[in-house]
Amino acid sequence: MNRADEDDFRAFVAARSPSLLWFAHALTGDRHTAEDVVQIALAKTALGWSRVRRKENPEGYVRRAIVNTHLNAMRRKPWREQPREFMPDDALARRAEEELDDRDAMWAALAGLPPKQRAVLVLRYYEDLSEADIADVLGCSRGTVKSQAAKGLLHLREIVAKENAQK
Amino acid sequence: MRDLEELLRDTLTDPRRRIDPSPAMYEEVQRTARARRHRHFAAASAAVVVVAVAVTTSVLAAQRPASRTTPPLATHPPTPTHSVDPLHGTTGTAVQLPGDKFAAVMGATATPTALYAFRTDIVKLDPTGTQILARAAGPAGTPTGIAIDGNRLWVWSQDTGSVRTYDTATLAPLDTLSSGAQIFDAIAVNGALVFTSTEGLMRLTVNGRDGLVTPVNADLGTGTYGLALDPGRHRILVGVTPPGTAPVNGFVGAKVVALDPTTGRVIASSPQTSLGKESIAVVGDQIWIAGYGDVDKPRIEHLDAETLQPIGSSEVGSQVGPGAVLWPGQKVLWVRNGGDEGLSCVDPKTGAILEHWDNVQGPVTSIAGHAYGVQGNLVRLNLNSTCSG
Repeated sequence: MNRADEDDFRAFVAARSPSLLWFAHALTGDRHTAEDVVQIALAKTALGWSRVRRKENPEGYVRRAIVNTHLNAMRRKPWREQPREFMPDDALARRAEEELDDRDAMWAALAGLPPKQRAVLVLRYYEDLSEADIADVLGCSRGTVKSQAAKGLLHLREIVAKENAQK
Repeated sequence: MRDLEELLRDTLTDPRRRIDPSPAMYEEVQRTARARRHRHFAAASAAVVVVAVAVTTSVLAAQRPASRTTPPLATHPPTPTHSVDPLHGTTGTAVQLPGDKFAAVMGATATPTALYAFRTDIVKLDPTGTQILARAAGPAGTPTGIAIDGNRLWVWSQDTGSVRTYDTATLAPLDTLSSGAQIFDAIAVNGALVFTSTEGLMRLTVNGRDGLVTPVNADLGTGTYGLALDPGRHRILVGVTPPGTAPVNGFVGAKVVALDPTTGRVIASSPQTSLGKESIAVVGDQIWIAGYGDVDKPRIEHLDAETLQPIGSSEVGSQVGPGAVLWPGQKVLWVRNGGDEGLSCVDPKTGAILEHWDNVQGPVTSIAGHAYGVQGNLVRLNLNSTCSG
């Protein structure tokens, strides 16, 4: 990387890393995993920054790298082993003690989704991407995006309904 | 209870989920990037070895006239296959190489069939990769690559520019030489080590205490990087970024130039490609290049063997990534892509992926139906019926 690229990349990381970390946190559900994934995605990007910076949307490129890095890592091990800040059962217990609000319950419920379903929902409801754009990011068909989103929402609805019934 | 989708949106954008970057984040990213670049570089610099093996069997290549011509493919080869129908490969155990260096480097010879590998010390293994037959100390600095030419095994260090040669049968040290430059890539041909470097395309011959270094073709300038031997056509293939087009703010791709290995005369040249920091692989009649391309997804490009004109390309990964690195197998092309960081066994005629490993790094060497990659240390690749190694 030459000096101009390095200066530009440093500025990009400084300006956009908070947003990228937030996005990665929503995607992975775990703070440390989010930091690792963002670091790897940015390192990948650094290797080709001279061309990435000329794109209309370099941040979009990095976000795609974050999604793919995370899903790729998850493919290498069963998704149920994904580290989480707390498990759903923990969340229920904590709610009893601290009256956690709906968002905490939803966050815990998200941890129960397979990584790809979660990625579809994060890209849809956090990134506001269209089905076509999500399909492009994930390298799958729009039909797969639709079905994954439907399954993910159904799964969340069941978990939330179950928890409401227990209230 | 609020609407589920509204609640989901609120949850994902909940400011409490925000993470502040650590002050050292940029340095961590750069450190990770350097490690990745080093891995890719170490891998690319070993890419020439199996090609060099072909020299052994073709009696130093240049002694036989070209007799084969390869018709260009009529259509572009299919793209990508593994993302749709993955042919997941598995690995087996091999000898664990001694040493603590970051990456292993290896090469192989067909006649006699033998495997060479090193981290710190260089070892000669039996073809099954389970038995060490000979062992010797490596060159000064971090050993980076191996090239084999007849009975001489060349090992070079990128960081020091030092080169050592060994007897291929016994690994007895023969010469300790200096390239006088930072070596990017190297091949052994006609009793010399030909290498791309900070000084351009150079030739190192065993002559005197340090060896003799001369330019192969000074007109190419210093913008040379990828290098391969094309034994079937008695040529050297080198990636060249044309003088005066060094990238400043934008990306500049290389062109591939074919040279006479003895005279350095230019025989053929490709148009400028969309790939830089390239690696070049020759498998039989097929020539492919890869690199850090001006594309989102890792891609390899197929060149016509005679004219070096592009005749096709293949996306070797469905995921966004910085590029790909190649190694020639005996019958297949090995591709490590920066998207999913997987390793693929690729059909050199069509670009189709025959087998794919999720977490195997390069360099990769295959010989006589045996294939080896790196997972921290040497690892054996179990080949399916379509990937012949």
